[in-house]
Parts: sequence; C-alpha cells; structure tokens
Amino acid sequence: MKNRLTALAPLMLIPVLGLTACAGVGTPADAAATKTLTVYTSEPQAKIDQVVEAFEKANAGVEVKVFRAATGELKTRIATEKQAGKITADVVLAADVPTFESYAADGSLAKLDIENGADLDKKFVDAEGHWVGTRIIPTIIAYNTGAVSEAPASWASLTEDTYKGKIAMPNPDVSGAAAFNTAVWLQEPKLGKGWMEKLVANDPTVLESNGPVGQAVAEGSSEVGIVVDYVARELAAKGSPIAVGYPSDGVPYVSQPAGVFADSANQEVANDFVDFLISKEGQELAVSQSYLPVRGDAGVPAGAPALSEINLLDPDQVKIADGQKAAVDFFNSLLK
Amino acid sequence: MATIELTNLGHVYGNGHVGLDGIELDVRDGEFLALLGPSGSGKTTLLRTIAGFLRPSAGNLAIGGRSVAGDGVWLPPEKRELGMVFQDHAIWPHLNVAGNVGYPLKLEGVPRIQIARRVAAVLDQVGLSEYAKRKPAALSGGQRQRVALARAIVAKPQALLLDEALSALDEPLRARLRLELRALTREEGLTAVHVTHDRAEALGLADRVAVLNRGKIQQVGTPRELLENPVNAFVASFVSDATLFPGTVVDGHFHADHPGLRFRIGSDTHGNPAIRVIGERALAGARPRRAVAAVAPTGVRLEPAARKAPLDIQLARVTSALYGRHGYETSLDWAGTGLRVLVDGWVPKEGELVRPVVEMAHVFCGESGGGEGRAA
Amino acid sequence: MAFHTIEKTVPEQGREFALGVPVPGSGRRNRNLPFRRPGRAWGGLGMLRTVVWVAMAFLVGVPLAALVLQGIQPEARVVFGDPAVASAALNSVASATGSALLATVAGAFLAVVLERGNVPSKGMLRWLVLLPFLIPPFIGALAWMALLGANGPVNKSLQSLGIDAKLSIFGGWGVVFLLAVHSYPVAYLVIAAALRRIPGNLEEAARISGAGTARVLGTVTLPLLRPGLLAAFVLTLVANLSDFGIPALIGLPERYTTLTTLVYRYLASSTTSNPLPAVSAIGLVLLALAVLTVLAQRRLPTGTQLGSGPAGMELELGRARIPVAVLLWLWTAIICLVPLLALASQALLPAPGVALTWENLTLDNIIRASTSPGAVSGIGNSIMLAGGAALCCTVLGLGIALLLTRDKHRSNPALDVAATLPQALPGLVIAVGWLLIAPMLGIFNTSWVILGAYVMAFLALVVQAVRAPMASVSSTLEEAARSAGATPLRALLDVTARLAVPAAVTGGVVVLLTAVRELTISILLVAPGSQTLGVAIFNLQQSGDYGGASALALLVALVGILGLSATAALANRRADK
Repeated sequence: MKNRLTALAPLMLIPVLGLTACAGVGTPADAAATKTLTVYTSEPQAKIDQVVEAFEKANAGVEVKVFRAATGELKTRIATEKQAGKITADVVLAADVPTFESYAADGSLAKLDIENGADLDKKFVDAEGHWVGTRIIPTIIAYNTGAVSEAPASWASLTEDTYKGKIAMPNPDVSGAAAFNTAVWLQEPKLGKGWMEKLVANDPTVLESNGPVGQAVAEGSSEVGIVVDYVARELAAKGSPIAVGYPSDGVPYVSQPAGVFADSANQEVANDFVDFLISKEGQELAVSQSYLPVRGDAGVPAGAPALSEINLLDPDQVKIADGQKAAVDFFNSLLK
Repeated sequence: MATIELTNLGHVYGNGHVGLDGIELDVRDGEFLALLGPSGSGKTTLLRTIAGFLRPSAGNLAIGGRSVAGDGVWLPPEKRELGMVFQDHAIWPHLNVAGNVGYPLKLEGVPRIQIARRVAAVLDQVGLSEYAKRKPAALSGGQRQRVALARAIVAKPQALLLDEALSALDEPLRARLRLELRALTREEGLTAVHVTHDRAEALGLADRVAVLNRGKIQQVGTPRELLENPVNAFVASFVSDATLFPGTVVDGHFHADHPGLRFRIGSDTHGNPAIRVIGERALAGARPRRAVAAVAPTGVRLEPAARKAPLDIQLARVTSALYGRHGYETSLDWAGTGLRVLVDGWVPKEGELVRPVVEMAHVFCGESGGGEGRAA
Repeated sequence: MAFHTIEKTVPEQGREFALGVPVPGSGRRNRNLPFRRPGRAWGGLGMLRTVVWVAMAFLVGVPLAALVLQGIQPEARVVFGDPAVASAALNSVASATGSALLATVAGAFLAVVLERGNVPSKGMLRWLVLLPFLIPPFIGALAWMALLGANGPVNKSLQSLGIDAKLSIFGGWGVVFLLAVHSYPVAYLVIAAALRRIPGNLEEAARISGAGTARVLGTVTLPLLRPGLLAAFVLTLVANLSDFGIPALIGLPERYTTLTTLVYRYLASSTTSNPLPAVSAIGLVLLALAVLTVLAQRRLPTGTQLGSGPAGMELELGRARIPVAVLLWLWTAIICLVPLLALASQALLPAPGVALTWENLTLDNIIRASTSPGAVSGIGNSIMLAGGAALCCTVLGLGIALLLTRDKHRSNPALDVAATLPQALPGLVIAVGWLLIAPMLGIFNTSWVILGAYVMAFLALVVQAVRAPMASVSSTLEEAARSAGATPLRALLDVTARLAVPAAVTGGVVVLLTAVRELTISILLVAPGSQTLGVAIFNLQQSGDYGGASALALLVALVGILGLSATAALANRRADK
C-alpha cells in the first residue's frame, strides 16, 4: 500500500511542474467575470481597437477582449463553440444580415435592449430585435489611377476583355461581405449566373479578403478590384493611386450587424456596447474610420458620396440567406 | 623507382610559423629513408611537401629527376605518381577492399581486366587475397593497414610515402608489419620515405635516417652513424637518449657546470680514450669555450658508493630502475641532474647511493646545451 | 539519518539490478511493471523517469492518441474522397519534395564551397547565407511579396529597362522557391557538419592515388556525404510539408492549396460545419508520413566516425575563384538582403503605390503598428507563451536528455522516439491534436492550448542541444561522485546536470526565439485574448494593412537575426573554452 502511494507521488508533481513553469501565461477567457466583455468581430484590428478604447473610456471598469478574424473564421468558431455547448463571446460584430437571421433562428442571439435603435432607418434594424446594423459597407469597383484612366462603369463592364486578368476580388469562402455579394449578384436579374461565369472567365485574382484586394489595386498588381469602399478610400487618403467607382447597375452592401449572444452572462454590458456602436458618438467614430454611417446625423467620410447618391441594392434578405451557400459553391465550382 | 631531391626547401605556414627551413636532402633510388624527430619537428610537413599537399615557400623539389615544385613549377599531388600510407590508414569506407586498392589504376584508365589481375597480385603480396570483396568495416586494424599499403603500391609509384604508417597499431602486430614492409620495399626496389617518431623503428627499418628538429635537418646518416657519430647534442640526446651536461672546455678538460662531472678530453675519467670532441678546433688555445657533453646511458658505469669515501657531489641516488630487454633502465638523481644509465649484471635498488663513472661522452663545442634538451 | 541507514541496507539489490541480473522474488516482478518501482535502491532515478514519462504521455501521447482516434472514424474517411483534398495533398508533397531537393542541392553547394573552397570573405558569407534561417518563413514571404509586387522594385526596374516581364512570386513555383529559400540554411548546416566529419586524409589518399580535386569530390567526398545529404533532405522535406505561412501568402492567391492551408480553410471557413473529423483525418495521414520518414531515416547508416586526420582538403577553385565569389555575393544579396530591403521600404512608405523617395519615407507604420493594442498584446502573449514554453522545454528536455545519456533503461528507445518525433511532425498535426484534447482538459479557447502545443513541438530542440555535449562527458565523472558516496540521482544532479545546464539553457533560448515568431500552430489554436505576434502580423496582412504588417515583420526579422546570431556566438564561445 505504502509502495503504491510512493509510486503515485511523482504523478502529482506533473501538474505542479506544469503550473509553476507556466504560471502567468494567461488565464482562461472567463466571460462570466463581472465586467469583462468578449467581442467577436471581423473589423480591422486598428478600427476595433479605437472603438474599444472609446467604449472603455465611456464605461469605466469594463474590459473588452477582442477576437478578430475573417467572417468565415468567426462563423466556424461560433459553430464549433455551439457544438461544444456554449458560445464564449458576448457580442458579435460582423458580416451581414443573413448570417444574423440564421443565428436568431436557432436561438443563439438574445433580444437586444438598446435605446438608439429608434434613430436608425428601419432597414438597418431587425424587426424582431435580434440585431442592428452598425455601418454601411458597400462593395464597389476600385481602380488604380496610374493604370486605368476611367472607372469601369458597371459590374457588367468587368466581363469585357479589357479587364481580362486585371481584376482582383476577395474570396467568398473567407470574406463575409464577398459571400453576401455573391448571393446578391446571382439574384440580380441583370447579372445572375451568366454574368458570373463571364467574370470568372476573365481570370480574376481571388485574394483572401478585402484588405489584400485594396493593396493589390493600390500597388498596381491588379488594375481594378472588387472591394468594399472604405478600404479603397483609406488607401487613397494615404496617397495611394487608387480611386473608387460606384457601379451603375447597383451597389450591394452589408450593414456589419451587431448582436448579443443568448449565452452571454453580461447582457447589460453587452447591450451597452451595441448601443454605443450606433450612438451618435459611435457613428461619428465610424465616419472618422471611413465608414458610411447608419445614422443620418453623423456626417459622411471625406471623399464619400452621400448615401442618397448611391444606387444601393436592397434584396430580400431571406432569399439571400437561403441562397448564400449555394452561391458560394457555384462561384467555387467556376474557379476549378 | 626514382630519386627524390630536395634543395634548400622551406615552408612557412599561414600563421607565420616556420615549418621547414633550408632542407637539403637526396633520397636515393630504392632507398628506405626514415624521417625522425619529435612532434612539431617538421617531419610530417616535409613528407606532405613531398606528397604535394603543402606548397614549399622556397627551394626546389624534384622526383625522379623531374622538378615538381619550385622555380614556378607546381605539380599537384595527383600528378606526382606517388603512393602514400596514412597514419590511420584512410581506407574509403564506401568501397570494398578491391575497390580501394584498384582506385589508382582506375584513375589511370587501366582496363578492368588488368586492374583485377594487378589488384589480385598486390593483395596476394600483402596477404589479403581472400578479402577482396570485404567492406573495410569488416577488417581488423592490421588488415586495413595492409589494404592501405596495397593501394599505395598498386600503381607502381615513383616512391612510397609512409606517414606514421605503423603508429596506430599495437605490438606485436606492429613489429610484424614492420618486417613485411621492409621485405616488400626490398622486393619491389621501392624508394620509400617513412615518417616516424619512434627511434627504434627508424633505426631498425631504414637504410638512412634524417633527424629533424625545428624545421631543420640535423643529420642524415645510417643508423650506425647516428649512434656513433652524432653531429650535435640534439641528435645525441634524441637518438641515443643521452643526458646533456652543459659546461666549459679548458685546456683539454671538460668542466661541467654540474659539480660532479669533469674529465680530460680524449680519455675518460679513468684514462680510456673514449671521449670524443665534435665541433671546432676546441683543444687549440687555452681560452675557455662553452660546450655540451652528451652522455649516453651505455656510456656510464655505476660503482657502489661505499668503495671509497668520495665527495657527496660524486654520489647519485637511484630514483627508479625498470627492467628492459637490454638491462635495467635506471634513472639517477645526481645532485639535481637526472641521469639515465643502462645497468647490466646487477640490480639497482631505489634509494640506493651509487657513484656514476662516465666512460664515454661526446663533447660538442660551441653549443650551449640546456635549451636543446631531449624531447622524446 | 534514517534514510541514510536504509540506503545502506539495500545496495546488493541495487547492484544486481544495475547489472541486469534478475533478482528472485519481488525484484523480478517489478521488472514487468510499465514503470519501475521508484524504490530507494534507485536513488531517485526511477522517480525522475516516472515524472518524465508521465509528462511525455500528457504532452505527446494524449494529443496524438486523440488525433488517431478521431482520424480513424468512418465519418473522417469521407474527406479522402474530396478531390480538393487529393489536389492539396499532391501540392503539399510536390512542393515539399521539390523545395527539399532544391534546398539540399543548394545546401550541398554552399557547404562544399564555403567549408572547403578558397573563397574570399568566407566568414562573412557563412553568416549571410544563414539569414533566411533567422527570419520566419511567413515574414520571408511578406518580403518577397514586397519585392516582386507588380509595381515592386524588381518589376519597376525591368519596366524601365523596357522588359515587360511581370515577374510574380504568387503560385506553386513561388511556394517551392520560397520554401527552398527558407530551408536551404538548415540543409547547409547539416551538410557542412557532415562534411567536417569526413577526415581529410581520405581525400588526400585519393589525390595521391592520382585523382584531381573534382574527381576527389565526385568519387570520395560526395559518396561519403550521402547520409548527410539524405538527412538534410528529410529534415527540410518534413519542415516544408508543415509550413503554413508561405503557402498561405504565396499559394492561396493563385488558388494553390496545400494540406496546411486546406486545414486552415476547413477550420476557418464557414463552408464545413464540423471540420474536426476531416482535419483529423488529414492530420493522421501527415502523422503517418512523418513517422515513416523518421523510421526510415533511423534505419539508414548514420554518419559514423570515419577516423581522424587533418582538416578536409581545400578546394582549389583556381580561375573559378572570383566567379564563385561573385555568385555567392549575388546569392546573399538577392536571396537574403534585397527582400529585407523591400520589406523595409514597404514598412517605411505610408501606403502602397506611393513612390519610393526620401520625402515619402515615414516611421508612421512602424510606430502605429508597434504601439497598436493588437500588436502590443500579441507581443505580450508571444513573449509569455514562448517564455513558458522555453522554461518547460528546458526543464523537461534536460530530464529526458539525462535519462537518455546516463541511465541505460529499456524504455530509452521509446523515450527517444517520444521526445524527437514531434519535431518531425508538421505543426498542423500538433495543433489539431491539441485542438481535439483541449475541450476534454477544459482549456479550450485559452492560451494553455498553445503553450502545450509549443512544448510538444519544441521539446526536441532542448533534448538535442543537451544530448550531444552530455554524450561526450565521460561517465567516470559521475562514477567518481558515486564512489564519493552520492546516490545515482544525486550524482546525476551534482555532476552531469551541472555540466549540461548551459547547453540546456542554450536550447531553451532557441525555443524562446523560435516560439516567439511562431505562426502555424498559433493560427490554428488562437483564442480570444491569446493572439500571438505571428497571428497579429498575419491578420494585419490579411486585413490589408501591408504597411503595418511589414513594419512588425521587419522588427521581428531584425530581433530574430540579432537574437539568434548572439545566441550562436555565445554558444560557440562557450564551446571554444
């Protein structure tokens, strides 16, 4: 008996060894702690850092932990966590309405309890109160001013021979906005499958996400790019030879919705965070970050047209939600 | 077979160290010459210069009457038609015995059938005919050295170079290979240059021995000449294991700095005519000259201390006595100087007091001794 | 005191154990237990062995077992029917094999020329050719992207010369090229070490037999170098099979997918609902490949000690001396320096497409990127994780190396495999293994997962660093301590361990510097709050902030170059003493 105990003693040393050796490397992300908020987002790191900074300043004692990844990655993470039993984030700020509709449908999202929703155009707020749009992110055609003198006027013009091998676009597998756009294009009567086949036949460079597309156009490795507008405007502001064209045949957009997970133990703070995003202060911050705002009283970013001047496409969100996976699969099948 | 002629050969290493200085040496056709010296004396440098692995910085080197280095001529090792055996055999592990031995012939472009025939003949000569297909890893040390020897002679080289070729082997295998080597070179009429630090091996094996120290040739001669007529104190001390006594020559007498030793030159302390003087005309004139007396272990007789009552400084204490083939190799402490003596016929005991009597010595005039102590 | 007396009553038994003579009764039974009873007769060595084995079972056994169990599920096998997996596997094998071949050839050439050739400024060149080794592969990829961008310096210069070549680094060839660039230094180091072990007199024997320099190289040196070449090939093959950064940054834009990027896609994209079975199946295949390679390599003849002799023959380059030197300098300039300059210029320009002039240069990117909260927390996380991993690896690696070199035990071969196998495993296999066990251990979504995976992945670095010097320390030193009255464990700790600690610390520093720049494992295991520096840079790049990514990458590259060079210099100085 005594011998067996001696034999086991070293076993107990292991966790101790491990713990002492690794002490201080980080503690489990425990969202249940009083004032810690975990946000899943696809916002660029620098932008979300500014949002968090402003929010924390206004809400003393709250610490926001950000996990930033591309929309596709976030969705996988959320799905995996759901399977494991509990979503560890409090707030999600990413992607597009269809994604949020599906989360709302399977009960992952809590109903929002916010004050500023009333100030917004109705199309940016979920009628059932599960999500709220936070910024308007249109996808447009950007072009390198050194290589192209005139912007391609429309999506349709991108299938012309002139642009063969010169187009860059984000990968709908990775970019939420791109996945959304794919579904929108397919459902636009004037575009549809025929247009997409011709676009892919023009041999576009499919980059991981919108950021690299903007870079590719700015440095000239691709002459035109299908990209969200703020990426191109920001590069232009820094001096890159890039300009923005809003296609005449309609501009798809995502509203980067925000929602609070039902699993969150911090409902109150989480709602405060969402509310902050659509508050006047939050929207002015968004405008300073080159986003088109969802509020009318926050101005527009330098160099951007007024919202009314853009031909925004407003398709049926439910149809888009249903068609998105098939659309992405169709696009991928064309690439092969 | 060929001669090797070295004229005023010098080598300076990259770091400024002088490896060889003014080497003059003729190796005769078919001669077995040993290069003997302490480590660092330049003997290996000299051999590697002959082989072509080192480029002399001065002088001329000719093999078989053809200049191979010096005067703007440079022939790399592979063009010198030499054979060489290395200290740790340098057998190629990725080739079998026949592959190793046949390699030089293959490079010469000899047809395969002839290679096989010649390899078989050479392997037979070194007693390895059964081993042609073996991998080197499956051979003993002696067998590998035989393979190395076979490889070195297979292409009938102009000369055979041996770099401490037997040093890695244990006795008595070493003694046997020594005999075989000698027989083989005689049989083939090979010119051979053999580097060794082993005196017995050099003296026993070679027709002539060249003694090197500090990059210079001290003496070239037959083993007997080296033993009987060493040209300087270093040779005497290194070849014969002589003890060196610095001192002064005055009026035909040698006065060692050591207080116990003084004798008349031309005869020993007992009047035997065995003390030889080498060097300048030392005896002429009464002016004192510095000199060194070299006393070989065989040139000293030990007398029991009790016979007379001599001065203390004439007595020495036995510090050790090791039994050897030729008698007791005895070490004495003679008033602070270590003296080596070969004792035959009686058994010295440690701690015993004896009186050393120098019967034979070589006195080298004009040398300071001391610094030239033996190194072996 | 009591302990001491007991100690004295059992020496007989202990001695018999040590000699391997079965002892009747209880002793015999003990020999059949998986872990020997840590009896006092063992002086604590048994305890050390038990501790090490338990740690290894947890760190290596459990993740791999989880991977195997998950990977052999029927639902997992479906993945092999997917043509995307087949083409990714083909790409992985092709790019790894091609790049390993290139790397081995380049490494062999450099080793021969720089170790043996009479090239001027050898010392400087030897350091410069190693530069790609000191830079993480994904940062190298960023640098080459900057260099070969459509409007990058190379294409601009070609255009101004009237050549419209439009060189591009993207695609399969770019992946192969960059993998080769980042793995040839390892091949060079391995081959140079093997070359130094070839005694010079084997080559001299060939020269005196009539072979010229080239002939010696072909008939003696290279055949003797074969085990070294093979080792270099296998090492680079395994490393390149597992790289993520290069295929992700260079391959994906041209839709050149490898297994690593495919697994990343599976884990990171929304198209697969539960990616774990599929990912485990892919991991299992890579695991099997790695185990096979390691086993095959163990069967091969190793570089046995071939004898002593003078240093190897100098390769007289003759008239080729200057052209070779020019080639080497061009090599170092093009492969090692220019991409770094391109990275620097990208970091110093405010935005892409801005002309490179003195007035346009700015430190904004560097300041912004290095002070942004994301980068700061990334740096903090990486330092914590790498420091923790270094500490764990040093302690555990020291224990393992001590047991392997100082205690002959029949579990040693197994321990050896357990400690060194993970090094041959693609980082992705390790990451997936930990991803699988994390929920069971309750450490899912925490930094602990990354830490565990780091320790598993880098443990071998310390074991190897300690093992070589320990093997050369004579065991008589320890025996002297034993005869002075020390127990085996005490003797081990007082004598051998003391001598081994400096090597272990060097190994630990290498772990630290490797882990702090790690990407493949951390990108697959990243969780909220545990984003590492590598992930931060990758994210900056992915979100389009090339300036920020380049700025951080440049800092990492410079710190890596300085840190590893300093470690190597210190280790060398210690070895010289």
